[in-house]
Amino acid sequence: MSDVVIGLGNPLLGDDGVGIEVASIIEKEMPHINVKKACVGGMTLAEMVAGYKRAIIIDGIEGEGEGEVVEIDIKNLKARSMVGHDVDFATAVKILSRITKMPDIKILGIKIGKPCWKDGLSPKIRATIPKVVEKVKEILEDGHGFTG
Amino acid sequence: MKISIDPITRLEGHGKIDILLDEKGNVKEAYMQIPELRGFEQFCKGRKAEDMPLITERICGVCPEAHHFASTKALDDAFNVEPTSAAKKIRELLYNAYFFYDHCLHLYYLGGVDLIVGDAPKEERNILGVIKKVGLEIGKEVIKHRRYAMEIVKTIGGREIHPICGVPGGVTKQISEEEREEIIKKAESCVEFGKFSMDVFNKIFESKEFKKLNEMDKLETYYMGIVDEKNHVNFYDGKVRVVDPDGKEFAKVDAKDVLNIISEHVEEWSYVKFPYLKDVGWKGLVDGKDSGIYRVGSLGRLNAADGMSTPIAMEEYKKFKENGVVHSTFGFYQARMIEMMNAAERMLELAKDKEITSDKIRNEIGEPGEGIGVIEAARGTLIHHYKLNEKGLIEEANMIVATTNNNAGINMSVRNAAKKVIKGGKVDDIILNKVESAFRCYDPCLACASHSLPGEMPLIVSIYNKNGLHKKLVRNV
Repeated sequence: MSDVVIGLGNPLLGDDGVGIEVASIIEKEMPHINVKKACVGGMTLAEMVAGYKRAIIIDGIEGEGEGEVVEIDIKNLKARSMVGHDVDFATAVKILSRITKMPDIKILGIKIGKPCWKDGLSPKIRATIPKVVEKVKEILEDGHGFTG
Repeated sequence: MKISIDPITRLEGHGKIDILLDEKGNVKEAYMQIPELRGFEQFCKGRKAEDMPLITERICGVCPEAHHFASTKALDDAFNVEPTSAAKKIRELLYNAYFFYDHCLHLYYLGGVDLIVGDAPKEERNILGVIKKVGLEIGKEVIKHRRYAMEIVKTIGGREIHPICGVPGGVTKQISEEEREEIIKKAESCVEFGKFSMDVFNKIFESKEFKKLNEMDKLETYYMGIVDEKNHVNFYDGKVRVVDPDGKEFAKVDAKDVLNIISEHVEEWSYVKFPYLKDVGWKGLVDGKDSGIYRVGSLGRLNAADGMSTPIAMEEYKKFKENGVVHSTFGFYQARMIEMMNAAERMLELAKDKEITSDKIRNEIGEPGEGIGVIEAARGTLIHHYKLNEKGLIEEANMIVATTNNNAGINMSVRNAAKKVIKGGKVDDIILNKVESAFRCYDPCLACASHSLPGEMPLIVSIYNKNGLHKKLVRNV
């Protein structure tokens, strides 16, 4: 298995759907790349990337500086305890890496406002899409950002 | 730069347990609170009814299939149409695949670890601790069979995790013979894995340690679940049955009448309501025959039913219920294991039925009106209720989700566990894990109950003594 690009988010929560939109463009422009779109987290997301060599996850993140794009290393994600139905992504990756082959993971976060039930992206967040698409292509083409 | 981006950080709130200590440092009260992201029902208003199965499955990343079909069934009712026989079987097949992979996640990765490694240090309280006890190969089998079940969902539903096949009167996609054969192979493997898992977990359920856990919390409540015509558990369809704490049938109603037998109590400290049986009444957070509190989910279903629809699960059911109703909250795990077996067997049964390849997959719909759809989500009874206008647009939408149905039970279990394990004001990680394990039994979906985002949320535990806030712990590091 090679590379996978995963667009994460809930398109019914306004700007939270940005990851899905980016993934849709990658799917069209880079047909040779495995692209998945999902609204999941934790173990299901970790299982989704298991077995690939490299994985890029694109997701909207809450935080000041709307529209800013940040690269996040999986090592910097907080591992949290299990409290509900799932474990967090960092813990899930840690667990699965002991059982199966896990990819190098790069996460691109696009800062969005507070998610609320709303259709479609705001103009400000939509405007970030070309930049994020380019970033994804750059990472895939020259391996920039991957540690392995 | 350190940034946390997992779904937790995008949530508006967090789960919260408040524990109140008395002067001696023992637990006086404990409350579990779940925040709410409001406005989902409002967001649905004016939408095309047929979009609802695709919209509502986005409420939550944990049980989208349950919302998808509860919504589809509400639309069947609202458009006064009975799905074709093949469509019902196709829906149920997909639904059992969802049940299988969801229960598998909880048993192996999450709650189940309380049973196997409950007293272990934090870093081993996950499947790694389980693997240490039962071997590395099991981890690979868990991944493989969860994948098989998800692939079945994708084959039938048209999309992984968030299916797109449910429409009023049937489904959108016919299953080919090749697909059916592929599903059979995967379902057969799931049945074998179910049997293996049954052996693994039955050894645990028979252990001294589990028997001790079983004594930790017993609540003599009513129980609710969907049953078929033989009063056997059915996840997808049937009548809603309620039994009293002695196991005697209290009510058995059609899905459309379920809202007539329950009411919702409001507590000012909780965003989430407390459903209870209307004819028994709300008596506070207490159990017993005079209190209208009922529980749902795996334990609720097995208690509310007289058996399981498939042979291996039925054998296990008989052992589980040999002394009648099971009130132990840790019984949720045993019931979950039996249901996982049942889901695998039922998947195979349905996959072997050639009718699922029929082209008669949809009936014509009638005029739009009002509809109620009830289904068993993995974590309990889920109700969708819509009112449509004459153009088929949503005028009102209301949902009662599984974790809301269990809200009272969860609160009582948390309180009981806290009272048992917190003494003299002493709190550490292992003690708190035991309190949390009480509500993990329910496999709660906080995101679902709060109509919030996918995934999980952090839990903040605040402990108050007579002088005010004594300790505040964010259970996320």
